[in-house]
Amino acid sequence: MVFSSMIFLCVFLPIVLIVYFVLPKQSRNLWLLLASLFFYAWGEPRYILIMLFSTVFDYCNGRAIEYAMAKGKHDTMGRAVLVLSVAGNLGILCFFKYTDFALETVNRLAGTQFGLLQLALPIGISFYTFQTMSYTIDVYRGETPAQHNIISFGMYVCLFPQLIAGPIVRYKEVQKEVDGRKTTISGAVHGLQRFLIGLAKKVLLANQIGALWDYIKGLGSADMSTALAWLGAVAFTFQIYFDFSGYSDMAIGLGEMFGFHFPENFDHPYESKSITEFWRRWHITLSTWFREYLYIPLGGNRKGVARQIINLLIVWFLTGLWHGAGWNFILWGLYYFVLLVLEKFVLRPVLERLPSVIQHLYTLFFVVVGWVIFACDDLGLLGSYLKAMFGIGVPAGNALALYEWDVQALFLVILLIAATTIPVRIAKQLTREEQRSPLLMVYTGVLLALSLAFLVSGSYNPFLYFRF
Amino acid sequence: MKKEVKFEKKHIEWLYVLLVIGALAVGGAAIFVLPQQSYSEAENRYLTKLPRISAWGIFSGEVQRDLTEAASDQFPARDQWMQTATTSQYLLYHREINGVYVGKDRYLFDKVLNSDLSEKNYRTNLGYVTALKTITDADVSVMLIPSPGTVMTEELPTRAVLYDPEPYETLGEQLCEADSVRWIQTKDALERADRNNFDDIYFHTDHHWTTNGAYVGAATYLKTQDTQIAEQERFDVQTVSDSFYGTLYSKVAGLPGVRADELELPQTLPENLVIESDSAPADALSADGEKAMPTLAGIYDLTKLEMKDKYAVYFGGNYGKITIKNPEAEGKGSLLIIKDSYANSMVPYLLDHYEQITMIDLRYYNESVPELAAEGWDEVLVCYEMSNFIKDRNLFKLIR
Repeated sequence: MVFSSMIFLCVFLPIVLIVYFVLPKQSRNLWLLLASLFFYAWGEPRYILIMLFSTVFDYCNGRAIEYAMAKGKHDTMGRAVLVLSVAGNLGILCFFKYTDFALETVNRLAGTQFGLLQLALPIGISFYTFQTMSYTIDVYRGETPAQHNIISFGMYVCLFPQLIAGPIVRYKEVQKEVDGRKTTISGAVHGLQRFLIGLAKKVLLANQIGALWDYIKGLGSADMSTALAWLGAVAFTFQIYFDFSGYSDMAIGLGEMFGFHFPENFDHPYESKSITEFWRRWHITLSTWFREYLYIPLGGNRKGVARQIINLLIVWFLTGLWHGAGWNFILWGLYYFVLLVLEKFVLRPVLERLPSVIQHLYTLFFVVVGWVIFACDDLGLLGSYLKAMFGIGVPAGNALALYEWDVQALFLVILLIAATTIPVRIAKQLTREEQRSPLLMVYTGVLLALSLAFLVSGSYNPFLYFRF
Repeated sequence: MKKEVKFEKKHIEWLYVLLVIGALAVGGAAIFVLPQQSYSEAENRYLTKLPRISAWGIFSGEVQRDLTEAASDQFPARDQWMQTATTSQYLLYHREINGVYVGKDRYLFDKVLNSDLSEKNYRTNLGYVTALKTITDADVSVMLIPSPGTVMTEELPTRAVLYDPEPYETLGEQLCEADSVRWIQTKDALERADRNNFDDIYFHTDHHWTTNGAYVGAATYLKTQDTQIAEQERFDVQTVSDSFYGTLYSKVAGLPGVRADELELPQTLPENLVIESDSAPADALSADGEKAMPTLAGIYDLTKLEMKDKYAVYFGGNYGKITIKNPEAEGKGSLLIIKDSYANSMVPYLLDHYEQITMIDLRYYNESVPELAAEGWDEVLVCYEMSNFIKDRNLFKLIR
């Protein structure tokens, strides 16, 4: 099930919320677990078994590590169980996500004819395997106690708000709230508003501008021009941000309604003045995960420059690969590796002396080009699209480009403003403290009505785009 | 005092949550409680109904997929929601909704670009047509009616782009004349009519031409056969419906401010016409979305005026094959038209001049065209809307 569907908004969500608040506190975790399993089973009922396996597997691993530590066998049995847990999680992830990619690559390189598995990717597998790994690692590190209640643990693993598209919530961040949390009406209001804003980002902004990207990407060479290629790239840049951050907002908002406080995932990344800053503000929970569980354990920057660069290479290769089983994703990860290393060792002193406008433009330029690499999972398309962006083989502009820029201009301005902190700053300027709460209620109500309108009419919109 | 304020804030917060969740829940309940709709007039398509629940359906995910679709298709006040969406798109200065340009005065046009068309397919299609010439002794003509937007350029949204028909015109003329097939150009005549005529030559809300455009088409064709068409007044053209919202309107999902088209029909026709068709019209639907039974008494099926697709008033829709015989025109020759739906509205103006006119629609005609074409016709006319002809994938049937 996806959040931006009538069945979730009008059937699932009201039922889950109402029952949740009617139930006594001690049954609420069980209810959330059941609701989450239902939510997950909606799309692909068979794959619920993988999630149940993951849950039981890491519940046992957590308990076993705890037992080992109590018996003073931290480095022997404890470590063995940890390795088992990580291998198990990565094994599941690799099997479902990367087997076909690996087979295809082998077939291409060695000329073999291995049959592909053609498995559908279990929804959210990249997210929940990372979450459960963080649990056993943190138990092993003694940063959190093991969870003894399998229902509570199952609820943490399967929790529907962040199950399919993050944020990646590490167990230690919500451990206290898993066992007992406070729900208040103010929290519910705040969470609901956050959810509605996220929904509007997804439905009103991401889906609409996504249609433009899809359309430009599909244009034949007869209608292509550099100006159009950039419009398409900018469109995808907005789409991926509003789609992804909208989903995070919805997840965080839903969590808040149930009394959870999930970590933030986006902090207006397109306002960044460097690529380094961009990655501190984009998909924060993923970067944090890789830093805590991979980069720092590899030695981080503590073992000399050469080792640091190798560590960065590993991290960014895997970050790219994590986003999808395709060469373009690996390329995209390596692209950022090169940019980040350049920035860290060469460009930073130069950049910092430039006017901030230039710093913004520099960052956005590379981010936009990066998104094109990310979006074109067909390398042939990627090549021709990048060529078009840099004026090779197509005219600089054409009548279609003029028309499209013209009709999209107003929407692009809205998107640009919406991607920054400007709206919040303006709202703070224009309103007094006591006016904000009722205004926000009206505003989110209007957003909901508009989102419903687009969702209903979208049912026959051939461009409707679901990423997760 | 202070305590009271706090108390009030809490009330408002409860009210907000209950209103939002309550409204969603009411909408959700309505999906299941209200009577199921099977067909959407506004969008001209079938709606997904609530599925039957079965264990296998749930296991395979089919029930869930249908439920997800039905929840949005059966949502209460669906048409109003869609209007809200299209209106906000329009207010955002978007002049294109679902691949339809919203032009000046809400004139609607299909957005067809150069890259939507393939010159290769066009050449292939023309090749099938010229191959006909080797089978029949008839006078073979090709008449591709310009796409509405390429004639009504003034009505397109500012700066809007359509495919360029010029290269296709030139190439078509070249290829046809090389094989002694007549190439008939209607663009100039239509543009002239558009400039001089008060009436529309293309519909605002539909992808077809009006009876006025069709008259120009008929006149142009007859002229190439050295025949003079009668003045249009002679046909006594009357408005039969002023509430025609066509196929393009369905795609913009009820954008406010779009005026209905008037549908006009020539009333003075030869008497005692004899009509023979191979079956019911292939694509005609009745109001409840069921296949219609043939009810053709004349060349007009006036019952179609009560329905969504009023253009089907001509013959009741598209047939694989339909023949109209005019005893009054005995000895005036026979005409075979290979066509899309554009020809339907032109035929009334041709009736006076042919003893027999047969139309075949290759989408639905599955018998041998070469056999039919060899039956001793005086004239063969291939008549399509231009972009439709360039894209068509059925013309291979001409030589099969």
